[in-house]
Amino acid sequence: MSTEEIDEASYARILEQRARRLLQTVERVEHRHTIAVLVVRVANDLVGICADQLDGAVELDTVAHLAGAPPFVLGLAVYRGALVSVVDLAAWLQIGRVERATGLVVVATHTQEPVAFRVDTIEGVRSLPAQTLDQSPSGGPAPRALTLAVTADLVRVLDLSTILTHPEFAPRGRR
Amino acid sequence: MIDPRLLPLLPGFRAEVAEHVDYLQQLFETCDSLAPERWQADLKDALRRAHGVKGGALSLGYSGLGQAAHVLEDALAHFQRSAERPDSEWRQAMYDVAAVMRAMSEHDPGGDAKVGHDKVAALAARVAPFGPITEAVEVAPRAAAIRPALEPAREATGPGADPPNRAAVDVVRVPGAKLDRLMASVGELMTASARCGALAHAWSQDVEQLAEFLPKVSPSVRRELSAVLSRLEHQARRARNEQRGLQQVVENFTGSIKSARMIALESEVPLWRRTVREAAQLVEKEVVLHVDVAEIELDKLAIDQLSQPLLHLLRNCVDHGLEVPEDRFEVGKPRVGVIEIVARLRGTQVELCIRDDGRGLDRALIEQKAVVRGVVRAEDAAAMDDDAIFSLLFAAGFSTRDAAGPLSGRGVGLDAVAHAARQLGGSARITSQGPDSGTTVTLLIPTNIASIRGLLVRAEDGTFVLPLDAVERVTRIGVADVKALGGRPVVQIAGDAAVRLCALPGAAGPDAPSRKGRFPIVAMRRGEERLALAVDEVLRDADLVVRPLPWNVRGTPSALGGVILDDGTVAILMDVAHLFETGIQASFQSSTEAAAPAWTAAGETRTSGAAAPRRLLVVDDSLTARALAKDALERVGYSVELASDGSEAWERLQVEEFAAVVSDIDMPNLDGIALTRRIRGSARLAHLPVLLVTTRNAQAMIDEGARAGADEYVIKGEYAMNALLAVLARQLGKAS
Repeated sequence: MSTEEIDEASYARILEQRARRLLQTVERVEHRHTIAVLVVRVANDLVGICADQLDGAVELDTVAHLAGAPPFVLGLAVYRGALVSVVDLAAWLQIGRVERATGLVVVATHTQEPVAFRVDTIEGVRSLPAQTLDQSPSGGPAPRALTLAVTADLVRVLDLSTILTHPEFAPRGRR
Repeated sequence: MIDPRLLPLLPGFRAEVAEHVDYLQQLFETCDSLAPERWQADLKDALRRAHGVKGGALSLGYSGLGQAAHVLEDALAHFQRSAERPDSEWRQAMYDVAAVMRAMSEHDPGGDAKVGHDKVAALAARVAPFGPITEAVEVAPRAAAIRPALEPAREATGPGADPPNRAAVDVVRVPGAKLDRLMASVGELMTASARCGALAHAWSQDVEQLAEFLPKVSPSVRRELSAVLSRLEHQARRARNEQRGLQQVVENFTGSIKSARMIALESEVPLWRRTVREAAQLVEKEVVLHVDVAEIELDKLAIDQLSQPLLHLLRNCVDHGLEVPEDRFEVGKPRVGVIEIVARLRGTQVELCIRDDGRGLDRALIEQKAVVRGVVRAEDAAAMDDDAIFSLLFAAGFSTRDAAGPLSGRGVGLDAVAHAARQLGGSARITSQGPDSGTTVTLLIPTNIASIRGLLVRAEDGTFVLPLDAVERVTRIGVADVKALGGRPVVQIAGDAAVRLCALPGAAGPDAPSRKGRFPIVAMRRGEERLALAVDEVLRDADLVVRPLPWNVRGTPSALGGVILDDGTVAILMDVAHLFETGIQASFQSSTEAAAPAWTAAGETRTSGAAAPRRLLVVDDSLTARALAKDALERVGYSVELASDGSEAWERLQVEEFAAVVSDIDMPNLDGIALTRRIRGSARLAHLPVLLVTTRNAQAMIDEGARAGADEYVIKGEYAMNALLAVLARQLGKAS
């Protein structure tokens, strides 16, 4: 059938249908690009951390206090045979402080060296569309943690790399 | 015949030449694609490398290699001067000479002159039209003495040429990072082995416990149980024996790795010589460097960390320490200045002395600069001995020069050396015998820093390692043995002079309820200084593998590293130098000698307490200092009011209530000491905690503050805010 045989209204309807199908395809593709986010509870706040930034989660029985370290560092522990510093995520985010150094930690790696973040609980893993997490830091002073997104149920998804590279995070060590 | 003393140096030299040739050849291959600035920078580096090969070659008697490197240096210098890029023919010619240099280095000294002469001659012919560019090549006197007559250059490589020295292939260069990873793995192996031993031991104990039940069971069960227990006991014994065998293997392995990490100090000598020569040329002085470091080896990490600071120090010696020839002549010294580097083994440490015969240290000038820069007060400086005054030169940024020169004067050299020595668990000292008698910097560096023999001690905050070579003795004392001297706790051990007493982080104070009987103290020594450290428990001494602190807490002042113990917990290796320094900054509580002294946690800068908001009055004439203090204190829950001097503070204290006063000392109108006296003189305010905060770490100032009635004293500086928070929490806890 040639185009000459279709009236204008039918032509418009066909184009609209094609456009809708095309849009659905794009949406399907976009939804397939999701990122797994580990949701943890920190001082009554829900915080999300992209799972690909994490190395693991363990329960620490002992944490050795390191006198002279910055206040948000709870101490040192052993993780997979290596020394790791344990950071109070609540203290770093300035939203509270854990009661004890030992307990649950999620471990991230920076330049192939681990660092453990003390959290209260792990609430689960969510899949979030990648596009919602596509944020880049704005100008001005470096934030203590860039918030990539806040979900409908108030999970604040953090960009861990902004913490790990923050000047105050490793004031004397190398970054 | 090659001098047998030079033989050990050849493998290292060959490896160095190979590395430089790799660099040069890569540069010739890629120079077309480099940006102009990068090309200039790389060209400079290439020149340095060619020059380095030339110097090493001539010192070892490689005349041919020295000549080849010289020609290449000329070619590189030509391109540096002309700012042109070499065309393909030039690049090929330089590439070939670099290859010849590598081939020459694989021969013994003397045999190199026969190799690749045509390539060198071809490049020399290319360079010749541009005239002499760098200084002529001479065989170094040392090499000349070994081989007075060098054979003339003969034909290039070919069937008749000597075969390369195969000994070169016995040297394998391993990247340092691989050795570090290997050492870390050994540490894990040691830990795993120790855990296996502990498990086997626990297994044996369980078997013994079960055996106690044998008499209580029926004979038939007893027979069965006895047989099972016997088998278990046998297996447990075997497991223990196997573990001992494993432990031995691990120890041998550890020894081998430690040995592989050891690098001869001699390897740094060419760099030292080059640095001294270049520095001397730059400031137009005549200097000779004597080195005596034979057979001394240091851990790779120590060599790495000391390398650059030592170069700083040598430049400092040339620029700052030695006089210009005319001045030397006037005071009856030879025109040529002498720098001497001597290394000796002292027990488990290497003593490295860097001496010059220059003008020596001027005590009066150092004192004057220190007073002008506010490092010390004039009256305190006058009371300090020479060692204390000279040690001010180790402070960051401290220089007696008014302006920085091309080599020194930024106050970096000595600071960098002392910092590196400390990071390695060693120490640095600077001495001078007086005007015109030179200066000596003495470094004490542990020979092996990857492992340490340490004393494991426990306090409430965890387990700590004290380096055993700093431990003088371990004893127990009672609360009554703790006295106060100048407001600070001291203890007398075995009739010796009174020693400062401080505590490990978290260790209970002498007046704590837990201190009912006698408690252990560890007497420590650093040079002439002594310190007694109260601990809760002394565990044992052991060989321990030290791991560097994690990346984000590296440089924490109180700790040098961590040790993973058999039970998987972490012990902190304490920085002895920091222990002594924080001990010096001991807090005081009372102005009377009789009262119980305050208990200072050595190295402690932890933030603690501050649970309930308290209203503080911060007094400081510096706006920045006030703002910083307010921000930090409010962040942890304090309510903060500000006053810009003692007078304003005093007025506010008359009408307002505060939980404590945090005051600077030097302020206009009414200073911190006078403010403290007024507070103590007031019936209403007499018990108000007063904390003095200042940049001055001087005993006289501490004593003056104590006499005025201040409760604590915090030295401004890095992490000072943490220290302030800790003492605030302590004082307010006491007050409540």
